[in-house]
Amino acid sequence: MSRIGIALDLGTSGFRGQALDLENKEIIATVLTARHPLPGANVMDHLNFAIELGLEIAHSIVIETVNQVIDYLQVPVNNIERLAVCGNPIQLSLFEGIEIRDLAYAGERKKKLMGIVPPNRDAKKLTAADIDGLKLPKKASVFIPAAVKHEIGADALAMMVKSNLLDCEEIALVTDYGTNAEMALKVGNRIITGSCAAGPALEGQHIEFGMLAAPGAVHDIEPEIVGFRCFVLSDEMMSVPGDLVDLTAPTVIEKGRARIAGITGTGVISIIHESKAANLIKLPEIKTPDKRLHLGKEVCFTEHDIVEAGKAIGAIRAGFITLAQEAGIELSDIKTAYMAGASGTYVNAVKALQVGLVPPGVQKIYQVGNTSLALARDIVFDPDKLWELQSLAQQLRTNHCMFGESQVFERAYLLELSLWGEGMPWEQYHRFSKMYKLPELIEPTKNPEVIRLYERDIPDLGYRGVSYIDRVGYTSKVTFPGCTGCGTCIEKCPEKALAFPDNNDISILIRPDRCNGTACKRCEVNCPEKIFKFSLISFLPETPISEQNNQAKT
Amino acid sequence: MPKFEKMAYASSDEMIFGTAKNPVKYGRDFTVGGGYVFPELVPHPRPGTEATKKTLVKEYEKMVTDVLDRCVAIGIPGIQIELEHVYQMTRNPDWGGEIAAETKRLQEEYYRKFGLKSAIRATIADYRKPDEEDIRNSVALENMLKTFETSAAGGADNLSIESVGGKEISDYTIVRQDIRGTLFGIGVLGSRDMEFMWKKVVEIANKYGATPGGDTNCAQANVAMFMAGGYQDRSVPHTFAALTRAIAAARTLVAYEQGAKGPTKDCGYEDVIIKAITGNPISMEGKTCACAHSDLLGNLVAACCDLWSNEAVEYHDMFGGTTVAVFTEILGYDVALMNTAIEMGHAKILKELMVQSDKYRDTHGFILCPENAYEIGKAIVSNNTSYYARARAAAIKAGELMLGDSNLQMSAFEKESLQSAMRTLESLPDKEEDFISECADIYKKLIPGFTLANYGL
Repeated sequence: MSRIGIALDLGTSGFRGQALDLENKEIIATVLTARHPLPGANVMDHLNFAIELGLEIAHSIVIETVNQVIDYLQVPVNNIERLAVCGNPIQLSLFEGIEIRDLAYAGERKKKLMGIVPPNRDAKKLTAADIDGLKLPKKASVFIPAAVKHEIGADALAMMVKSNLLDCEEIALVTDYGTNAEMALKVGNRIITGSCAAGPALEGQHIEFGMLAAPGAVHDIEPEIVGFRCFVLSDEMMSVPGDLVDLTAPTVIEKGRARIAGITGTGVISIIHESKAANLIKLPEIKTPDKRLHLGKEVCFTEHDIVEAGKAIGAIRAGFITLAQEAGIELSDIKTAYMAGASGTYVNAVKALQVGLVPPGVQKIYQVGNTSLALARDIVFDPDKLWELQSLAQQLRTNHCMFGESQVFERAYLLELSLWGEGMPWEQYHRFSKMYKLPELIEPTKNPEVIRLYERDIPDLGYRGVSYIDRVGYTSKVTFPGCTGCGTCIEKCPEKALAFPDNNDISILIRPDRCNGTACKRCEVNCPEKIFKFSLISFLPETPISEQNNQAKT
Repeated sequence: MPKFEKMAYASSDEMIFGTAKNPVKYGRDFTVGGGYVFPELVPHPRPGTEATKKTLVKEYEKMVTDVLDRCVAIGIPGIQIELEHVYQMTRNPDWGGEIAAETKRLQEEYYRKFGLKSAIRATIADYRKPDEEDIRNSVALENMLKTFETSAAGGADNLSIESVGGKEISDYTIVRQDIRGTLFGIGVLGSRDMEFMWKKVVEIANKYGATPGGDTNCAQANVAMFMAGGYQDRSVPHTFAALTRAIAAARTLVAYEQGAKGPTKDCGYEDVIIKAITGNPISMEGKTCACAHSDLLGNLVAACCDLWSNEAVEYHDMFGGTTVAVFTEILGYDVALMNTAIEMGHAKILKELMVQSDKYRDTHGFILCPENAYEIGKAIVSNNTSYYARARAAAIKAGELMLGDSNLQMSAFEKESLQSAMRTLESLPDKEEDFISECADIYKKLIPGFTLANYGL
């Protein structure tokens, strides 16, 4: 096999990697991970984990998973010459193993007090030997693109460049829909960026029957004269008509062409939109006899799921309200929206607009795919791009709006949480919004023009196709002296991350990819003997991933 | 097909408790709607006593004796006792017959000894299962018809039933606030099943010289009303339950078109509308049925009643005697007050007090206050081209009345639900055949076991 390059997108909810044939300039294969390997559901959890348990541990888990991805790409490692990564600054810093605390603390004084020196986040060309644990030939090049400013990462740059936002003359907003939603608003020559922890609901996580895009996943529903038709991903990952269901009862009206296994993030948006239109959802309640919306006999959507989805949708809406306020414009001035990321590509754009994921006054919506992986791929094929992007980054007149410090965001998000989770009526929302002098949330455009640039978020999966890593990272084991083996920690874990080992050993097995991390710690809190200590868990692998028994499907 | 074309009363002002245009006389010198109100007591046997015929007959004997004794003890001049069948009484026709005969024996004894006027209503249990069997040709139907006969032969003066046609549809639609399906289940299927059933009931009543009494939409409209519940409940909107009640009126009317004479069945809250159209005497229940269920029109519903009932009370001991005796006493004093108002010429004032105490308490009382009930009745008779047309018209009229009176307070939740139902009602096809064909396609898919053949379609 000829010379090979690796493009990596380190997303908050999972990694995506591609093997590239450098001579024929073509894509060989694609690998997706089902989850992020670090405990936690968002970047703040990841940061917190790295700070509490140590950067080295977090770095080594991330690199082990990168090795796992490369392993799954099934290319001769010795032929790999280049690797380029893209992602937000936190993920890239964890990958590189450099200081991250500057990203955790916003206040300058706090940083000074703690002796934190922000590292250089300019574009870098390293070698594999510079990255501890990375199993590539030592001389292989590793490219890390520049952050625009230290808070505005390469992923935001990728989103702006690959969506063509920079060429758009109208007021436009680009959003990368993910667990951490990046957004950039362009008004004339001015660009304001922001980034909010939307949570994982739009990736299908934290939803009772949520799942990533995989065979059996419902990604859309459409009303018919009787019932609702589920659109499901087939074994070939194509959308096919699934069962015709009665959302109000656990029955199937008519069998479809594919079984239903769960709901993707885009499915969640579709269910919310269609159920609201059919008066089956009146926030925050589901108006069916058992307060559930049924997609057949096994899969359903709950009121808890509405709250989870509302957190994500609300965070994103609060995000663009904040950016509009910052730019001194009304939401109705935003005429064009670009939707990036997997969710942004697969979602029905009109439904996304109706539920609030897109600025309400847009006339045109472009669905642009995974820009982060696309940028990494550009760099692998043409390393000079790295420096072109660096100079572009320096020229950009960008301002970053820290949502965490913005009173506008705080107020807008509070209204969103009240709307989605507490049943605040719309009139009250608008009254408060007016009182807070927020940009007015107008009625969504009825028929925007939707331009879908690619059929898939990753348009070309390569001639060998795509593989999934269901089990990301490795299981670690911990023994607490004094543990009675009562199993309370296992029972209380909301993500089923804990288990007893098969032998009768009183120790606990932990899957870090499932663990909700330091923000959860229900295992520790609920331990009746008070001997479970999250901080004592060694998340370092005893044996490398490649030697562990992984479950994956191709 | 619908028969009533005009109202029995010229206006709701004419309607009053104790008097009906067509009084009914039966039993032991017992006249209903002839100028005075009488109590109707419904005793319910304790669980376990239905195990054998012997224990159940004994239970009824004790209950009926307690009721009649209390009437004599406090001077109640007359009473109707309803034998509301538990399943076993209908399933075994001879049980129903024997209990009717025993009740008659006791009533005759009290009439002879004390001059206590009395009558018996036998209400047969409709235990057909529309989603599981051919309800026009089933063992259940056969038993029910036999039990009508044995009851009439045993001495029941009034034959009634709570029929369940269309319940398989309304059970699905009410909890989902699907007004189209509710209109289909009650207004169309319910009406068609009533026509089928009541032809047979009237035939049997005539054969035995009994009076065909009436039917109630207990299985459907009362389900909606109970689920709507009190002010704190939101599982079914109160406005939706009120629309269901208006539809039920168009359906319950079918019994009287087929020859039923009344007094109507007590738990049919829609009977005020029935009285306005037919002039037949009605039996009602309100505050005195709190032993069985709560409602929000405890006084108002008595405004036009001819019998005043307690719905059902299980037989137990209380400090003041057994439950059936205690409720006989409560009903007795209630009707004594009404009859005294009649005697003293203050009936209209008492009627007005009853109405005003509940008219704006809830949507159900609002649409059933005599003036609004009368308007709904007019909508029914002036749209008598089909069962569907008149049921739909009744619902639309009820909705318009609710939206048109600013004194009726509704939460945004209630109002939105009503407006949404009204939009659906307005958008439905004009012709019954179009509506049936539209609904058949939908509900055949949604409700396993639903078949049009059960309704002669």
